[in-house]
Amino acid sequence: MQAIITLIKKEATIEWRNRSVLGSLLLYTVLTVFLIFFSFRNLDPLSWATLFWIVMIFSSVDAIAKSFMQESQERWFYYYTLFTPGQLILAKLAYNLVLMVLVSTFTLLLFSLFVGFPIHDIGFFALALLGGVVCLTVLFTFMSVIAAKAGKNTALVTILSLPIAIPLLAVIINFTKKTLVVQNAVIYSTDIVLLCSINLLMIIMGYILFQFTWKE
Amino acid sequence: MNLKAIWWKLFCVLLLIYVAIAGLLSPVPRLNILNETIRNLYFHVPMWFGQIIIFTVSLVYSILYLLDTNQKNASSIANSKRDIAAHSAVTIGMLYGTLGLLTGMIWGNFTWGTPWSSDPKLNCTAIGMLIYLAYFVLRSSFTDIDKRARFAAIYNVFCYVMFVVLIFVIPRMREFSIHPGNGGNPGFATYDLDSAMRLVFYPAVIGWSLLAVWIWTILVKYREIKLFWNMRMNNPLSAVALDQV
Repeated sequence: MQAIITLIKKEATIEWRNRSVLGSLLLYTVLTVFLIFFSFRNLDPLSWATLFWIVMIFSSVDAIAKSFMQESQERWFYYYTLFTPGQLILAKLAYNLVLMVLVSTFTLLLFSLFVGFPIHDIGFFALALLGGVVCLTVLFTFMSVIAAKAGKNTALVTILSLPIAIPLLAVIINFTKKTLVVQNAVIYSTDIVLLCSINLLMIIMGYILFQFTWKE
Repeated sequence: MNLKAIWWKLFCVLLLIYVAIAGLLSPVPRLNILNETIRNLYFHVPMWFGQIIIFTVSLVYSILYLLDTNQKNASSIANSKRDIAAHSAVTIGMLYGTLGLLTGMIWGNFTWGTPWSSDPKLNCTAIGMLIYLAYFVLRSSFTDIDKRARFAAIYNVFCYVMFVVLIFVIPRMREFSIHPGNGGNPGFATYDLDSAMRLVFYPAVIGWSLLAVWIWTILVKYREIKLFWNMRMNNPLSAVALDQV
């Protein structure tokens, strides 16, 4: 546990010392949202839900892809002596999750500012947002490990994760569209169960398979 | 089953000759819209059976590879063979997927009026093909053979599990299909009252699946010989003898 906290602190310190990376990411999000505002002006609620998640996907790829890309070979060797693979992947997941919650809040603020906020069931929307963010975080973090070992090609993260992200996004967007109007909470039950089980499965798979990426 | 044995290859050839002849000549139910295209059932559907079987073979070899790597001699010859087996299985699966898509598009063009509709099964197939195309991109971006084998295996296991879970779990991927036997559409079992079509369909499934395995064994052999030949050429003093292949 202590090791995980240390790793998260290290990630945050690197992020803080290299603020321009986060800054460029946020600017990228601003530009995309402004582009949507510029080309749509009036966005109907269903397109709002879809576009919001598409912007989220591409901002999160950029945010997360760097998490393993920035690790040099020497630092991997240093990690071998200090941590177990489980500690490293959990720390990376936790840090990326915090980062993604920040990015998604920022994207949401931008969307409300430029193209409006058509959601009426705020509580369940927050749940959908959190579930979706966890989904994308786990998927992209895991693919970033593979892409980092394959030669630090950021485009590879996108290519590897998008085929899996398409069906995931179908679930998330479906959930988000239901929150456009206030409804009986019962209709969310399948979405919540589905998202939770997919997230759990992905975390378990990632945790197990990360042990195999560890050894050189 | 000994994959080198000849009896199952003969069996496969006989079945496919039977399927080709009986599939085109045997009586089929006369139905509106479908008409004679119903015979495509013997060629289109078995492609998907063959593809799922061969992708599962690939998954098994990837898991075996990872389990062995985790112990000791990571770059043993046995492990290189497992990687070749998994990679070749994906190649054959893609071949079958392409053939399945092509036969399906011809069929769809005659019955639905369009080669590609937004049918859930088509979407699932498209996602599956994209996953395995990404698998080839991933393989080609490694230069180190052992590393390539390991990460391809990891990606294969992750994606196979996610893909199978997602297509069976997501409601949007199941409902409203215009494929027969889905979303309230009657399946072929309801048309085929005298079960005459089953007499051709089941042999077709077995025959095409066996053919997939057969092509796979040949491709595996070819790639093994190529790999060990290259190792031999690059390092004449290498302990790897060609008769180990």
